[in-house]
Amino acid sequence: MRTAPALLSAALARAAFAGAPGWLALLVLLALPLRAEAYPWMIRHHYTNCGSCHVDPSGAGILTPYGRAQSELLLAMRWRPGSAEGEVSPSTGFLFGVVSPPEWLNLAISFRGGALLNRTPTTTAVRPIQMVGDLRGAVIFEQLRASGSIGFASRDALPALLTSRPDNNLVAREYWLGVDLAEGMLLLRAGRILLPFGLRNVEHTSWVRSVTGTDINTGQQHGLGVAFNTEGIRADLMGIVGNLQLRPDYYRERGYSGSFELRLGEDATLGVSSLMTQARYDVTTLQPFFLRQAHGLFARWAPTGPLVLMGEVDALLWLPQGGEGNVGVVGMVQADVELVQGLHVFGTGEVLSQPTLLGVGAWLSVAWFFNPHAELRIDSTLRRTESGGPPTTALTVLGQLHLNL
Amino acid sequence: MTHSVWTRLRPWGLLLGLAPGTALATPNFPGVIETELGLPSAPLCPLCHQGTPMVGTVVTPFGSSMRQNGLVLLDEDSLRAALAALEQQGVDSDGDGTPDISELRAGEDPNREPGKPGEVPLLEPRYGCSSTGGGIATAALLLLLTLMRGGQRRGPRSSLTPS
Repeated sequence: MRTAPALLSAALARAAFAGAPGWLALLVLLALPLRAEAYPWMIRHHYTNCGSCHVDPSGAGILTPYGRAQSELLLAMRWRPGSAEGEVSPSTGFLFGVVSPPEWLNLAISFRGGALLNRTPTTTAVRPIQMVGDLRGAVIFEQLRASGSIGFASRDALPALLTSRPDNNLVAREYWLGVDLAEGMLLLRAGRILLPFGLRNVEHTSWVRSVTGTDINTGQQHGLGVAFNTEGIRADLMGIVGNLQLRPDYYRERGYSGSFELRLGEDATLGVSSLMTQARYDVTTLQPFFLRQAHGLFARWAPTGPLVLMGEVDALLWLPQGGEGNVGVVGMVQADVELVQGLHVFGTGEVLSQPTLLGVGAWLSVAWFFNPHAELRIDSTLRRTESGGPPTTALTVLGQLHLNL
Repeated sequence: MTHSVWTRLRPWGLLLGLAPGTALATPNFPGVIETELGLPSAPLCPLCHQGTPMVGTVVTPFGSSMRQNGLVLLDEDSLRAALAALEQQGVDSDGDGTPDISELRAGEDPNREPGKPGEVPLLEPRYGCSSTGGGIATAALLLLLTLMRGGQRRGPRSSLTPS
Protein backbone atom coordinates (compact mmCIF):
# COMPACT_ATOMS: atom_id res chain seq x y z
CA MET A 1 0.00 0.00 0.00
CA ARG A 2 1.14 3.50 -0.72
CA THR A 3 0.40 5.08 2.63
CA ALA A 4 2.74 5.81 5.48
CA PRO A 5 1.60 3.87 8.53
CA ALA A 6 4.09 5.51 10.85
CA LEU A 7 2.94 9.02 9.98
CA LEU A 8 -0.63 7.87 10.26
CA SER A 9 -0.08 6.45 13.73
CA ALA A 10 1.48 9.63 14.94
CA ALA A 11 -1.30 11.76 13.48
CA LEU A 12 -4.12 9.72 14.95
CA ALA A 13 -2.39 9.59 18.31
CA ARG A 14 -2.87 13.32 18.51
CA ALA A 15 -6.63 12.91 18.56
CA ALA A 16 -7.98 15.08 21.30
CA PHE A 17 -9.54 13.82 24.50
CA ALA A 18 -13.32 14.23 24.48
CA GLY A 19 -15.58 15.96 26.87
CA ALA A 20 -19.25 16.70 27.19
CA PRO A 21 -19.66 18.23 23.70
CA GLY A 22 -18.69 14.90 22.15
CA TRP A 23 -21.27 13.05 24.16
CA LEU A 24 -23.85 15.62 23.30
CA ALA A 25 -23.09 15.30 19.59
CA LEU A 26 -23.31 11.54 19.85
CA LEU A 27 -26.70 11.63 21.49
CA VAL A 28 -28.03 14.10 18.94
CA LEU A 29 -26.75 11.98 16.09
CA LEU A 30 -28.23 8.84 17.58
CA ALA A 31 -31.60 10.45 17.29
CA LEU A 32 -31.15 10.67 13.53
CA PRO A 33 -31.94 7.89 11.12
CA LEU A 34 -28.30 6.15 9.68
CA ARG A 35 -24.63 2.81 6.83
CA ALA A 36 -21.06 2.34 6.17
CA GLU A 37 -19.79 1.77 2.72
CA ALA A 38 -18.02 -0.45 0.32
CA TYR A 39 -16.05 0.96 -2.58
CA PRO A 40 -14.74 -1.79 -4.84
CA TRP A 41 -13.27 0.91 -7.08
CA MET A 42 -10.54 1.45 -4.49
CA ILE A 43 -8.69 -0.98 -6.72
CA ARG A 44 -7.42 2.13 -8.52
CA HIS A 45 -5.17 2.55 -5.50
CA HIS A 46 -4.10 -1.11 -5.76
CA TYR A 47 -6.43 -2.19 -2.94
CA THR A 48 -7.58 -5.61 -4.06
CA ASN A 49 -8.25 -6.80 -0.51
CA CYS A 50 -10.69 -5.11 1.83
CA GLY A 51 -9.41 -6.02 5.28
CA SER A 52 -6.91 -3.19 5.53
CA CYS A 53 -9.61 -0.56 5.62
CA HIS A 54 -12.63 -2.53 6.89
CA VAL A 55 -13.08 -4.69 9.96
CA ASP A 56 -15.10 -7.04 7.78
CA PRO A 57 -12.47 -8.84 5.70
CA SER A 58 -14.76 -8.75 2.66
CA GLY A 59 -15.45 -5.04 2.94
CA ALA A 60 -18.32 -2.73 3.90
CA GLY A 61 -19.20 -1.71 7.39
CA ILE A 62 -17.05 -0.05 9.97
CA LEU A 63 -13.59 1.19 9.02
CA THR A 64 -10.35 0.43 10.76
CA PRO A 65 -8.29 3.45 11.88
CA TYR A 66 -6.16 2.83 8.82
CA GLY A 67 -9.28 2.93 6.64
CA ARG A 68 -10.36 6.19 8.25
CA ALA A 69 -7.00 7.66 7.34
CA GLN A 70 -7.44 6.59 3.72
CA SER A 71 -10.71 8.52 3.69
CA GLU A 72 -8.62 11.64 3.90
CA LEU A 73 -5.55 10.53 1.94
CA LEU A 74 -7.20 8.80 -0.99
CA LEU A 75 -10.96 9.25 -0.89
CA ALA A 76 -11.85 12.84 -0.13
CA MET A 77 -11.25 15.96 -2.16
CA ARG A 78 -8.03 17.75 -1.23
CA TRP A 79 -8.75 21.37 -0.51
CA ARG A 80 -5.15 22.19 0.43
CA PRO A 81 -2.81 21.14 -2.33
CA GLY A 82 0.17 21.94 -0.17
CA SER A 83 -0.61 19.40 2.55
CA ALA A 84 2.17 16.92 3.03
CA GLU A 85 1.84 13.48 1.46
CA GLY A 86 0.78 10.90 4.02
CA GLU A 87 -0.01 13.34 6.81
CA VAL A 88 -3.38 12.62 8.37
CA SER A 89 -5.46 15.01 10.40
CA PRO A 90 -6.63 13.82 13.82
CA SER A 91 -10.11 14.86 12.74
CA THR A 92 -10.41 11.68 10.68
CA GLY A 93 -11.16 9.90 13.97
CA PHE A 94 -14.51 9.10 15.50
CA LEU A 95 -16.71 12.19 15.66
CA PHE A 96 -13.95 14.29 14.08
CA GLY A 97 -11.52 13.12 16.73
CA VAL A 98 -13.21 14.90 19.63
CA VAL A 99 -14.10 11.55 21.20
CA SER A 100 -11.28 9.12 21.69
CA PRO A 101 -12.30 5.51 22.27
CA PRO A 102 -9.74 3.08 23.62
CA GLU A 103 -7.30 1.75 21.07
CA TRP A 104 -9.00 -1.64 20.79
CA LEU A 105 -12.40 -0.13 20.09
CA ASN A 106 -13.53 1.37 16.77
CA LEU A 107 -16.70 3.40 16.69
CA ALA A 108 -18.52 5.11 13.86
CA ILE A 109 -21.82 6.75 13.14
CA SER A 110 -23.15 6.38 9.64
CA PHE A 111 -26.02 8.32 8.14
CA ARG A 112 -27.37 8.13 4.62
CA GLY A 113 -30.48 10.02 3.64
CA GLY A 114 -31.94 12.49 1.21
CA ALA A 115 -34.78 12.74 -1.27
CA LEU A 116 -36.07 10.28 -3.81
CA LEU A 117 -37.98 11.10 -6.99
CA ASN A 118 -39.85 8.34 -8.82
CA ARG A 119 -41.38 9.08 -12.19
CA THR A 120 -43.40 6.71 -14.34
CA PRO A 121 -45.50 7.60 -17.40
CA THR A 122 -48.48 8.08 -15.14
CA THR A 123 -47.14 9.24 -11.79
CA THR A 124 -44.46 11.38 -10.23
CA ALA A 125 -43.67 11.10 -6.56
CA VAL A 126 -41.05 12.74 -4.38
CA ARG A 127 -40.38 11.72 -0.82
CA PRO A 128 -37.70 12.06 1.80
CA ILE A 129 -35.69 8.90 2.35
CA GLN A 130 -33.58 7.66 5.20
CA MET A 131 -31.56 4.59 4.31
CA VAL A 132 -29.10 4.22 7.12
CA GLY A 133 -28.70 5.60 10.62
CA ASP A 134 -26.39 3.30 12.51
CA LEU A 135 -23.99 3.39 15.39
CA ARG A 136 -21.27 0.87 14.63
CA GLY A 137 -18.72 -0.63 16.91
CA ALA A 138 -15.84 -3.05 16.46
CA VAL A 139 -13.37 -4.60 18.84
CA ILE A 140 -9.92 -5.67 17.74
CA PHE A 141 -8.11 -7.10 20.74
CA GLU A 142 -5.24 -9.47 20.14
CA GLN A 143 -6.86 -12.37 18.23
CA LEU A 144 -10.42 -11.35 19.13
CA ARG A 145 -12.55 -9.62 16.52
CA ALA A 146 -16.09 -8.41 17.06
CA SER A 147 -18.33 -6.06 15.17
CA GLY A 148 -21.88 -4.85 15.53
CA SER A 149 -24.27 -2.13 14.62
CA ILE A 150 -27.49 -0.71 15.91
CA GLY A 151 -29.56 1.95 14.26
CA PHE A 152 -32.89 3.47 13.47
CA ALA A 153 -34.99 3.02 10.35
CA SER A 154 -38.03 5.19 9.78
CA ARG A 155 -39.40 2.64 7.30
CA ASP A 156 -38.46 -0.53 5.34
CA ALA A 157 -35.20 -2.37 6.25
CA LEU A 158 -37.43 -5.29 7.22
CA PRO A 159 -34.83 -8.09 7.36
CA ALA A 160 -32.73 -6.10 9.82
CA LEU A 161 -35.48 -5.08 12.21
CA LEU A 162 -35.06 -5.56 15.92
CA THR A 163 -38.49 -4.21 16.73
CA SER A 164 -41.72 -4.95 14.87
CA ARG A 165 -43.52 -1.65 14.67
CA PRO A 166 -45.08 -0.55 11.37
CA ASP A 167 -42.54 2.31 11.15
CA ASN A 168 -39.71 3.80 13.20
CA ASN A 169 -37.90 0.63 14.20
CA LEU A 170 -34.55 -0.27 15.69
CA VAL A 171 -32.35 -2.20 13.29
CA ALA A 172 -29.26 -4.35 13.73
CA ARG A 173 -27.64 -5.19 10.40
CA GLU A 174 -24.60 -7.06 11.61
CA TYR A 175 -23.13 -8.42 14.81
CA TRP A 176 -20.52 -11.07 14.90
CA LEU A 177 -17.74 -12.45 17.02
CA GLY A 178 -14.58 -13.83 15.47
CA VAL A 179 -11.09 -15.04 16.06
CA ASP A 180 -8.09 -14.18 13.93
CA LEU A 181 -6.24 -17.44 13.41
CA ALA A 182 -3.31 -16.29 11.30
CA GLU A 183 -2.38 -12.66 11.78
CA GLY A 184 -5.11 -11.25 9.58
CA MET A 185 -5.05 -14.00 7.00
CA LEU A 186 -7.67 -16.33 8.42
CA LEU A 187 -10.75 -15.13 10.31
CA LEU A 188 -13.33 -17.48 11.76
CA ARG A 189 -16.50 -15.76 12.83
CA ALA A 190 -20.11 -16.39 13.87
CA GLY A 191 -23.08 -14.10 14.04
CA ARG A 192 -25.08 -11.95 11.70
CA ILE A 193 -22.83 -11.44 8.70
CA LEU A 194 -23.14 -9.85 5.27
CA LEU A 195 -23.32 -12.66 2.73
CA PRO A 196 -20.08 -12.97 0.76
CA PHE A 197 -21.14 -12.78 -2.87
CA GLY A 198 -20.07 -10.77 -5.91
CA LEU A 199 -19.06 -7.13 -5.89
CA ARG A 200 -19.74 -5.54 -2.55
CA ASN A 201 -20.95 -2.37 -4.22
CA VAL A 202 -22.74 0.41 -2.44
CA GLU A 203 -25.64 0.54 -4.93
CA HIS A 204 -27.81 -1.74 -2.85
CA THR A 205 -30.79 -1.47 -5.18
CA SER A 206 -28.81 -2.62 -8.24
CA TRP A 207 -30.34 -5.84 -9.52
CA VAL A 208 -27.17 -7.89 -8.95
CA ARG A 209 -27.50 -7.10 -5.26
CA SER A 210 -31.24 -7.01 -4.70
CA VAL A 211 -32.16 -10.08 -6.77
CA THR A 212 -29.42 -12.23 -5.21
CA GLY A 213 -30.31 -10.97 -1.74
CA THR A 214 -26.76 -9.83 -1.02
CA ASP A 215 -27.07 -6.08 -0.64
CA ILE A 216 -25.13 -4.35 2.09
CA ASN A 217 -28.19 -2.70 3.58
CA THR A 218 -30.24 -5.72 4.57
CA GLY A 219 -28.54 -8.78 3.03
CA GLN A 220 -27.04 -10.05 6.27
CA GLN A 221 -27.96 -13.43 7.73
CA HIS A 222 -26.88 -15.49 10.72
CA GLY A 223 -24.27 -18.15 10.30
CA LEU A 224 -20.67 -19.22 10.58
CA GLY A 225 -18.03 -17.85 8.24
CA VAL A 226 -14.40 -18.28 7.41
CA ALA A 227 -12.47 -15.64 5.49
CA PHE A 228 -9.02 -16.04 3.99
CA ASN A 229 -6.99 -13.08 2.83
CA THR A 230 -3.50 -13.11 1.51
CA GLU A 231 -1.50 -11.36 -1.14
CA GLY A 232 -3.45 -11.92 -4.30
CA ILE A 233 -6.32 -14.02 -2.94
CA ARG A 234 -9.51 -13.11 -1.11
CA ALA A 235 -11.87 -15.91 -0.15
CA ASP A 236 -14.93 -15.89 2.08
CA LEU A 237 -17.30 -18.77 2.78
CA MET A 238 -20.34 -18.68 5.04
CA GLY A 239 -22.67 -21.39 6.26
CA ILE A 240 -26.10 -19.80 6.60
CA VAL A 241 -28.52 -20.78 9.36
CA GLY A 242 -31.06 -18.11 8.42
CA ASN A 243 -32.10 -14.66 9.44
CA LEU A 244 -32.94 -15.17 13.09
CA GLN A 245 -34.67 -11.79 13.13
CA LEU A 246 -37.38 -13.36 10.99
CA ARG A 247 -40.02 -15.68 12.37
CA PRO A 248 -41.44 -18.30 12.32
CA ASP A 249 -38.46 -20.48 11.63
CA TYR A 250 -39.81 -22.05 8.47
CA TYR A 251 -39.16 -18.88 6.49
CA ARG A 252 -35.44 -18.92 7.32
CA GLU A 253 -32.96 -19.94 4.65
CA ARG A 254 -30.29 -22.58 5.24
CA GLY A 255 -27.36 -23.03 2.93
CA TYR A 256 -24.10 -21.37 2.00
CA SER A 257 -22.72 -18.33 0.27
CA GLY A 258 -19.15 -17.77 -0.81
CA SER A 259 -16.85 -15.79 -3.03
CA PHE A 260 -13.29 -16.20 -4.24
CA GLU A 261 -11.36 -13.34 -5.80
CA LEU A 262 -7.97 -13.65 -7.45
CA ARG A 263 -5.68 -10.74 -8.17
CA LEU A 264 -4.52 -10.57 -11.76
CA GLY A 265 -1.69 -8.11 -11.56
CA GLU A 266 -1.68 -4.87 -9.60
CA ASP A 267 -4.88 -3.37 -10.93
CA ALA A 268 -7.23 -6.22 -11.81
CA THR A 269 -9.11 -9.02 -10.10
CA LEU A 270 -11.39 -11.82 -11.19
CA GLY A 271 -13.79 -13.54 -8.85
CA VAL A 272 -16.39 -16.27 -8.64
CA SER A 273 -19.39 -16.44 -6.31
CA SER A 274 -21.83 -19.13 -5.36
CA LEU A 275 -24.94 -19.13 -3.20
CA MET A 276 -27.44 -21.87 -2.48
CA THR A 277 -30.14 -21.74 0.17
CA GLN A 278 -33.39 -23.47 0.89
CA ALA A 279 -36.27 -22.41 3.07
CA ARG A 280 -39.33 -24.46 3.90
CA TYR A 281 -41.37 -21.51 2.67
CA ASP A 282 -40.10 -18.60 0.66
CA VAL A 283 -40.74 -15.42 2.58
CA THR A 284 -41.77 -13.49 -0.54
CA THR A 285 -43.75 -15.99 -2.60
CA LEU A 286 -44.80 -18.32 0.27
CA GLN A 287 -43.95 -21.27 -2.00
CA PRO A 288 -42.85 -24.45 -0.18
CA PHE A 289 -39.33 -25.89 -0.05
CA PHE A 290 -37.95 -23.03 -2.03
CA LEU A 291 -34.44 -23.59 -3.39
CA ARG A 292 -32.60 -20.41 -4.31
CA GLN A 293 -29.33 -20.47 -6.22
CA ALA A 294 -27.03 -17.86 -7.72
CA HIS A 295 -23.63 -18.51 -9.26
CA GLY A 296 -21.52 -15.99 -11.09
CA LEU A 297 -18.40 -14.11 -12.01
CA PHE A 298 -17.22 -10.64 -11.11
CA ALA A 299 -14.22 -8.56 -12.08
CA ARG A 300 -12.54 -5.24 -11.29
CA TRP A 301 -9.99 -3.47 -13.46
CA ALA A 302 -8.24 -0.12 -13.23
CA PRO A 303 -6.78 0.26 -16.73
CA THR A 304 -5.63 3.82 -16.23
CA GLY A 305 -5.48 6.43 -13.47
CA PRO A 306 -8.95 7.91 -13.32
CA LEU A 307 -10.89 4.96 -14.74
CA VAL A 308 -12.11 1.80 -13.03
CA LEU A 309 -14.26 -0.82 -14.74
CA MET A 310 -16.27 -3.36 -12.78
CA GLY A 311 -18.69 -6.04 -13.78
CA GLU A 312 -20.70 -8.94 -12.44
CA VAL A 313 -22.89 -11.58 -14.05
CA ASP A 314 -24.85 -14.21 -12.13
CA ALA A 315 -26.97 -17.15 -13.16
CA LEU A 316 -30.13 -17.50 -11.10
CA LEU A 317 -32.17 -20.57 -10.28
CA TRP A 318 -35.25 -20.47 -8.11
CA LEU A 319 -36.99 -23.78 -7.67
CA PRO A 320 -40.06 -24.33 -5.47
CA GLN A 321 -41.25 -27.84 -4.63
CA GLY A 322 -43.70 -29.04 -7.22
CA GLY A 323 -43.47 -25.77 -9.11
CA GLU A 324 -41.73 -24.63 -12.22
CA GLY A 325 -38.11 -23.60 -11.94
CA ASN A 326 -37.26 -20.00 -12.57
CA VAL A 327 -33.96 -19.72 -14.42
CA GLY A 328 -32.49 -16.32 -15.16
CA VAL A 329 -29.48 -14.11 -15.37
CA VAL A 330 -28.59 -10.78 -13.82
CA GLY A 331 -25.66 -8.58 -14.69
CA MET A 332 -24.06 -5.21 -14.19
CA VAL A 333 -21.17 -3.24 -15.66
CA GLN A 334 -19.94 -0.01 -14.17
CA ALA A 335 -17.37 2.58 -15.22
CA ASP A 336 -16.10 4.96 -12.56
CA VAL A 337 -14.11 8.03 -13.56
CA GLU A 338 -12.51 10.05 -10.78
CA LEU A 339 -12.24 13.48 -12.38
CA VAL A 340 -10.21 14.86 -9.50
CA GLN A 341 -9.64 13.22 -6.15
CA GLY A 342 -12.98 13.02 -4.40
CA LEU A 343 -15.21 13.68 -7.40
CA HIS A 344 -16.53 10.60 -9.23
CA VAL A 345 -18.79 10.12 -12.21
CA PHE A 346 -20.26 6.64 -12.62
CA GLY A 347 -22.04 5.10 -15.56
CA THR A 348 -23.76 1.79 -14.89
CA GLY A 349 -25.67 -0.59 -17.10
CA GLU A 350 -27.65 -3.53 -15.78
CA VAL A 351 -29.82 -6.32 -17.09
CA LEU A 352 -32.20 -8.79 -15.51
CA SER A 353 -33.73 -11.68 -17.41
CA GLN A 354 -36.13 -14.18 -15.87
CA PRO A 355 -39.07 -16.06 -17.39
CA THR A 356 -41.55 -13.60 -15.98
CA LEU A 357 -39.46 -10.45 -15.91
CA LEU A 358 -37.16 -8.75 -18.37
CA GLY A 359 -35.41 -5.54 -17.43
CA VAL A 360 -32.67 -3.22 -18.58
CA GLY A 361 -31.39 -0.25 -16.65
CA ALA A 362 -28.93 2.61 -16.96
CA TRP A 363 -27.50 4.69 -14.12
CA LEU A 364 -25.68 7.98 -14.18
CA SER A 365 -24.23 8.91 -10.83
CA VAL A 366 -22.08 11.64 -9.37
CA ALA A 367 -20.41 11.28 -5.99
CA TRP A 368 -18.54 14.08 -4.32
CA PHE A 369 -16.50 13.25 -1.22
CA PHE A 370 -16.11 16.83 -0.11
CA ASN A 371 -14.80 15.79 3.29
CA PRO A 372 -13.31 12.57 4.71
CA HIS A 373 -16.52 12.18 6.67
CA ALA A 374 -19.04 13.32 4.10
CA GLU A 375 -20.27 12.61 0.60
CA LEU A 376 -22.94 14.12 -1.58
CA ARG A 377 -24.27 11.79 -4.22
CA ILE A 378 -26.87 11.90 -6.98
CA ASP A 379 -28.03 8.77 -8.79
CA SER A 380 -30.38 8.95 -11.74
CA THR A 381 -31.66 5.58 -12.85
CA LEU A 382 -33.73 4.75 -15.89
CA ARG A 383 -35.20 1.26 -15.89
CA ARG A 384 -37.39 -0.48 -18.42
CA THR A 385 -39.10 -3.65 -17.27
CA GLU A 386 -41.50 -6.02 -18.94
CA SER A 387 -43.51 -8.57 -17.03
CA GLY A 388 -46.19 -10.04 -19.25
CA GLY A 389 -47.89 -6.78 -20.09
CA PRO A 390 -46.66 -3.65 -21.81
CA PRO A 391 -43.17 -2.47 -20.85
CA THR A 392 -42.86 0.00 -18.02
CA THR A 393 -40.24 2.73 -17.91
CA ALA A 394 -39.39 4.40 -14.63
CA LEU A 395 -37.00 7.20 -13.80
CA THR A 396 -35.57 7.45 -10.33
CA VAL A 397 -33.45 10.31 -9.06
CA LEU A 398 -31.91 9.96 -5.63
CA GLY A 399 -30.06 12.80 -3.98
CA GLN A 400 -28.39 11.89 -0.74
CA LEU A 401 -26.01 12.98 1.93
CA HIS A 402 -23.78 10.32 3.43
CA LEU A 403 -21.98 10.94 6.67
CA ASN A 404 -19.46 8.60 8.23
CA LEU A 405 -18.50 10.12 11.53
CA MET B 1 -63.09 29.07 11.73
CA THR B 2 -61.13 25.88 12.10
CA HIS B 3 -62.37 25.47 15.61
CA SER B 4 -65.93 25.96 14.45
CA VAL B 5 -65.67 23.28 11.75
CA TRP B 6 -64.07 20.88 14.23
CA THR B 7 -66.81 21.53 16.75
CA ARG B 8 -69.47 20.72 14.20
CA LEU B 9 -67.76 17.59 12.93
CA ARG B 10 -66.67 16.18 16.27
CA PRO B 11 -69.87 14.24 17.08
CA TRP B 12 -69.69 12.53 13.68
CA GLY B 13 -66.03 11.79 14.20
CA LEU B 14 -66.74 10.23 17.55
CA LEU B 15 -69.49 8.16 16.02
CA LEU B 16 -67.24 7.00 13.18
CA GLY B 17 -64.47 6.33 15.67
CA LEU B 18 -66.70 3.91 17.51
CA ALA B 19 -67.95 2.15 14.42
CA PRO B 20 -64.75 0.41 13.27
CA GLY B 21 -64.38 -1.26 16.65
CA THR B 22 -67.28 -3.46 15.72
CA ALA B 23 -67.26 -3.48 11.95
CA LEU B 24 -63.59 -4.48 11.68
CA ALA B 25 -63.58 -7.09 14.43
CA THR B 26 -62.92 -10.04 12.13
CA PRO B 27 -59.59 -8.69 10.86
CA ASN B 28 -58.50 -8.79 14.48
CA PHE B 29 -59.06 -12.55 14.67
CA PRO B 30 -55.51 -13.43 13.56
CA GLY B 31 -54.09 -11.16 16.24
CA VAL B 32 -56.35 -12.68 18.90
CA ILE B 33 -55.29 -16.21 17.89
CA GLU B 34 -51.63 -15.15 18.01
CA THR B 35 -52.03 -13.71 21.48
CA GLU B 36 -54.22 -16.49 22.89
CA LEU B 37 -51.94 -19.28 21.71
CA GLY B 38 -48.63 -17.45 22.08
CA LEU B 39 -47.71 -17.92 18.43
CA PRO B 40 -44.55 -16.37 16.93
CA SER B 41 -46.70 -14.41 14.47
CA ALA B 42 -50.30 -14.07 13.34
CA PRO B 43 -52.03 -16.80 11.32
CA LEU B 44 -52.68 -16.24 7.64
CA CYS B 45 -56.18 -16.40 6.13
CA PRO B 46 -55.96 -20.01 4.77
CA LEU B 47 -56.05 -21.31 8.34
CA CYS B 48 -59.81 -20.83 8.33
CA HIS B 49 -60.78 -19.51 4.90
CA GLN B 50 -60.84 -21.21 1.56
CA GLY B 51 -60.23 -18.73 -1.23
CA THR B 52 -60.80 -15.04 -0.74
CA PRO B 53 -61.67 -14.38 2.91
CA MET B 54 -65.32 -13.41 3.22
CA VAL B 55 -68.52 -14.63 4.82
CA GLY B 56 -69.16 -18.24 3.87
CA THR B 57 -65.53 -19.21 3.22
CA VAL B 58 -64.72 -20.51 6.72
CA VAL B 59 -64.81 -24.09 5.48
CA THR B 60 -61.31 -25.48 6.13
CA PRO B 61 -61.25 -28.43 8.57
CA PHE B 62 -59.90 -26.17 11.32
CA GLY B 63 -62.37 -23.39 10.46
CA SER B 64 -65.26 -25.86 10.51
CA SER B 65 -64.15 -27.19 13.91
CA MET B 66 -64.06 -23.64 15.25
CA ARG B 67 -67.56 -22.96 13.97
CA GLN B 68 -68.83 -26.20 15.49
CA ASN B 69 -67.42 -24.99 18.80
CA GLY B 70 -69.28 -21.73 18.79
CA LEU B 71 -67.23 -19.34 16.62
CA VAL B 72 -69.42 -16.40 15.66
CA LEU B 73 -68.65 -13.80 13.00
CA LEU B 74 -67.10 -10.64 14.46
CA ASP B 75 -67.22 -11.96 18.04
CA GLU B 76 -63.77 -12.15 19.61
CA ASP B 77 -65.11 -13.75 22.80
CA SER B 78 -66.57 -16.59 20.76
CA LEU B 79 -63.16 -17.02 19.09
CA ARG B 80 -61.41 -17.33 22.44
CA ALA B 81 -64.03 -19.75 23.67
CA ALA B 82 -63.75 -21.90 20.54
CA LEU B 83 -59.96 -22.05 20.83
CA ALA B 84 -60.26 -23.09 24.45
CA ALA B 85 -62.81 -25.75 23.54
CA LEU B 86 -60.61 -27.19 20.80
CA GLU B 87 -57.67 -27.37 23.16
CA GLN B 88 -59.72 -28.94 25.95
CA GLN B 89 -61.24 -31.55 23.64
CA GLY B 90 -57.98 -32.21 21.78
CA VAL B 91 -59.73 -31.73 18.45
CA ASP B 92 -57.70 -33.09 15.52
CA SER B 93 -59.35 -31.70 12.40
CA ASP B 94 -57.04 -33.32 9.83
CA GLY B 95 -56.88 -36.65 11.67
CA ASP B 96 -53.09 -36.83 11.64
CA GLY B 97 -52.89 -37.73 15.33
CA THR B 98 -51.78 -34.31 16.55
CA PRO B 99 -54.38 -31.97 18.09
CA ASP B 100 -55.04 -28.76 16.18
CA ILE B 101 -53.83 -26.41 18.89
CA SER B 102 -50.59 -28.35 19.32
CA GLU B 103 -50.02 -28.17 15.59
CA LEU B 104 -50.64 -24.46 15.52
CA ARG B 105 -48.24 -23.86 18.37
CA ALA B 106 -45.63 -25.90 16.50
CA GLY B 107 -46.23 -23.80 13.38
CA GLU B 108 -47.78 -26.75 11.55
CA ASP B 109 -50.95 -26.93 9.50
CA PRO B 110 -53.98 -28.35 11.38
CA ASN B 111 -55.80 -28.69 8.05
CA ARG B 112 -53.46 -31.11 6.36
CA GLU B 113 -51.15 -33.97 7.23
CA PRO B 114 -47.49 -32.96 7.06
CA GLY B 115 -45.97 -33.49 3.63
CA LYS B 116 -49.27 -33.49 1.76
CA PRO B 117 -49.36 -31.55 -1.51
CA GLY B 118 -50.78 -28.07 -1.39
CA GLU B 119 -48.95 -27.20 1.79
CA VAL B 120 -49.02 -23.50 2.57
CA PRO B 121 -47.56 -21.55 5.50
CA LEU B 122 -50.20 -20.65 8.06
CA LEU B 123 -48.27 -18.08 10.06
CA GLU B 124 -47.32 -14.77 8.49
CA PRO B 125 -43.64 -13.87 8.23
CA ARG B 126 -42.68 -11.27 10.80
CA TYR B 127 -39.43 -9.40 11.22
CA GLY B 128 -37.96 -8.17 14.45
CA CYS B 129 -37.16 -9.74 17.76
CA SER B 130 -40.11 -8.24 19.61
CA SER B 131 -43.08 -6.02 19.00
CA THR B 132 -42.40 -3.63 21.83
CA GLY B 133 -38.82 -4.30 22.54
CA GLY B 134 -35.49 -2.81 21.90
CA GLY B 135 -34.19 -4.43 25.07
CA ILE B 136 -31.28 -6.10 23.34
CA ALA B 137 -30.60 -3.02 21.30
CA THR B 138 -30.70 -0.76 24.30
CA ALA B 139 -28.36 -3.06 26.21
CA ALA B 140 -25.91 -3.09 23.30
CA LEU B 141 -26.03 0.66 23.06
CA LEU B 142 -25.41 1.09 26.76
CA LEU B 143 -22.49 -1.33 26.56
CA LEU B 144 -20.92 0.67 23.75
CA LEU B 145 -21.39 3.92 25.59
CA THR B 146 -19.90 2.41 28.72
CA LEU B 147 -16.88 1.21 26.78
CA MET B 148 -16.44 4.67 25.32
CA ARG B 149 -16.61 6.24 28.76
CA GLY B 150 -14.00 3.79 30.01
CA GLY B 151 -11.74 4.73 27.13
CA GLN B 152 -12.10 8.42 27.86
CA ARG B 153 -11.22 8.01 31.52
CA ARG B 154 -7.96 6.47 30.49
CA GLY B 155 -7.19 9.64 28.59
CA PRO B 156 -5.79 10.02 25.13
CA ARG B 157 -4.16 6.99 23.62
CA SER B 158 -0.46 7.06 23.19
CA SER B 159 -0.23 4.98 20.07
CA LEU B 160 -2.33 3.41 17.42
CA THR B 161 -1.36 0.81 14.90
CA PRO B 162 -2.97 0.71 11.52
CA SER B 163 -4.38 -2.58 10.37
